[in-house]
Amino acid sequence: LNRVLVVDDDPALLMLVTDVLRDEGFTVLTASNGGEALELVSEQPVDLILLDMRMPVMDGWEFNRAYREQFGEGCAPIVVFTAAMNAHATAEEVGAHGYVAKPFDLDHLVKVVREQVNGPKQA
Amino acid sequence: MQDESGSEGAHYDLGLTRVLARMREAMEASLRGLLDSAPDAMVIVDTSGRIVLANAQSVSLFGYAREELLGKPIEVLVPERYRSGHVRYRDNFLERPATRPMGVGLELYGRRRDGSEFPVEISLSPFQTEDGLLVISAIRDTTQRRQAEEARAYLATIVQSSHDAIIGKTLDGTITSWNPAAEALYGWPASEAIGRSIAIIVPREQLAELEEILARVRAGTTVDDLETIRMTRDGERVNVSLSVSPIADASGRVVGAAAIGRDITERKRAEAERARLQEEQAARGKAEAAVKERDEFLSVAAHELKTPLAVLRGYAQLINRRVQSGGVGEPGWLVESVDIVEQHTDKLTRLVDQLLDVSRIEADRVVLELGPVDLAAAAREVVAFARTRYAGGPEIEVGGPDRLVVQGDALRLEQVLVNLLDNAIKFSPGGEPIDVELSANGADARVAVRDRGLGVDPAHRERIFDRFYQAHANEYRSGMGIGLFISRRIAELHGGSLEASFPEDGGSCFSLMLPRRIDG
Repeated sequence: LNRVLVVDDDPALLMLVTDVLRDEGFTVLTASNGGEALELVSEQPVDLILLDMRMPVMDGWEFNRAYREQFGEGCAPIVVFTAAMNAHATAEEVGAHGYVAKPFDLDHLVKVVREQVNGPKQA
Repeated sequence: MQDESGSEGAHYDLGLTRVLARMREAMEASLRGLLDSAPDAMVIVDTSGRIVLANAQSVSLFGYAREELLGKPIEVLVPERYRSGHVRYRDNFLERPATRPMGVGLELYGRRRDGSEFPVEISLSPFQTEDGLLVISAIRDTTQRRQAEEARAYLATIVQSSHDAIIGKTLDGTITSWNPAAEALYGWPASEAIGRSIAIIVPREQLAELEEILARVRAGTTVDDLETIRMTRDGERVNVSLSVSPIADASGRVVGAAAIGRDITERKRAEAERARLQEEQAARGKAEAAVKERDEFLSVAAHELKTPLAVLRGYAQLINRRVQSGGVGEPGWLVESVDIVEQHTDKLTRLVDQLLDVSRIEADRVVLELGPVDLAAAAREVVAFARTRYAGGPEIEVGGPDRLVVQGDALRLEQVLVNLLDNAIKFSPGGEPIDVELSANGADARVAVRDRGLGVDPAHRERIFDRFYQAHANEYRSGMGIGLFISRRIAELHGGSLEASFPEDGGSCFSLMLPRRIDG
């Protein structure tokens, strides 16, 4: 099962992305901030993390740091999911595998997620 | 007398010649005594220029023993280079002997036994004796006087060549001296300034200050580096730094004042120029900071706007996908999705309204539609709405009178209440209870929104009402930083205020104060 963790503080976006990815056959886990996400990944492995950056409690940057520190080589790929003007730069800054800039196209979102989950062999 | 007659008796046998010789001796002795008591060195020469008498002062002045001088030509007392000339002068004098000063207009020098020279002043008096013409020279050492004169001349040169205006004046302010720098600075020539009142260079508005300066001088104190304004002959004002000192006479009595004025117009101009440059630099810095602030704001605003846009676009696409694939099985899902679209449309509208409010406030174009507004009812409505909107959020209590009427713009006041309550909820992530307290205090109506959440770090408190300022920008997602800026402005436009306080036990309390409508 391809497990995608979606981290975003906007409940409507969480619902939307969950619906879209489930329609595409992914298993979707959700967290509304970095802290919740960190708890989830400690309990179960995931194949991809779709990560919003600006969030309360623990933001994307902090989560990224803590996650990599904790899991090292075992980290799932991260795709930055941001409304910032420089999504590409943000992704590079945190060493993410890709980015989806808000507002986004559903097809693009699905494509990026699929590429990352299935790995380059199917891309 | 007895002694003398006795003495005479003892010399009874002496011849007339000897008597005369003794009389001469006695006369010479008394003459010498007289000369020795004179203040000046005195030397008597005969027509051949030989010294026949030298008094004690001349002995000490020239360093010779009296015996060494007697019979010597007077020229031993004259520097070698003048000796031949002196002989000629001496002959001329003997041709027309008369009492007069010697060498008028010339610098005269005496020569000591050791060859050293010194300036002298000499007066000559011829007198006839039975042995012929004798000349008495009275010689005064003028070294000290010369030095004093030189010192005075030196000081005068300093005053004359000084770039500072140096003015002497009496205690009543009459000008007694006026150096060239004073001429240059004030435009009055010394010849015209001296004798006039110092008031000629004091502008009317500084006359009181002049009185004060003169009073201080009379009291014997100085005025140091007083920066003031003086006036030229043409009436032009000049900035001067003024130092005034009392001048005392030999007995210590203050008889006048010396004023030194330095033209600091240029310095003042340079100072003003420097101040202007600093101001310019500060203004430039401020402008740059404003641009930076605006850039940051635009980036935050774009982020805030894109989030609801992402929801709108996403749901539109998702609904489209599912409709096309015939997958909208549950009617509930569609209704829910459309609700979300509507909510986010509202959110987007609010954000855009806020942006427009900022530009309206900055352009001073906010127009209030005034009427009676019941703040109590409005607050309860806003709270009721928040309770449904943030279901599961903090508990919100409303306290105070049932009716509290102010004159205001109902929509704008509701906007303020929504903003305060939204903030209270947003910054109470632990769901701590919130109180909304209404009260009437004389002519004022007050609504206080008190939360027990994050509060505001003391470092940020001063700026929370600033435009674009976000106290929790780094650690908490918090909108665009314009809510409180707009709310405070709305309160002020109503003739009221919006203040923040931070209770000891944490959280924040925002108080909206508005003038009550008494007939309401």
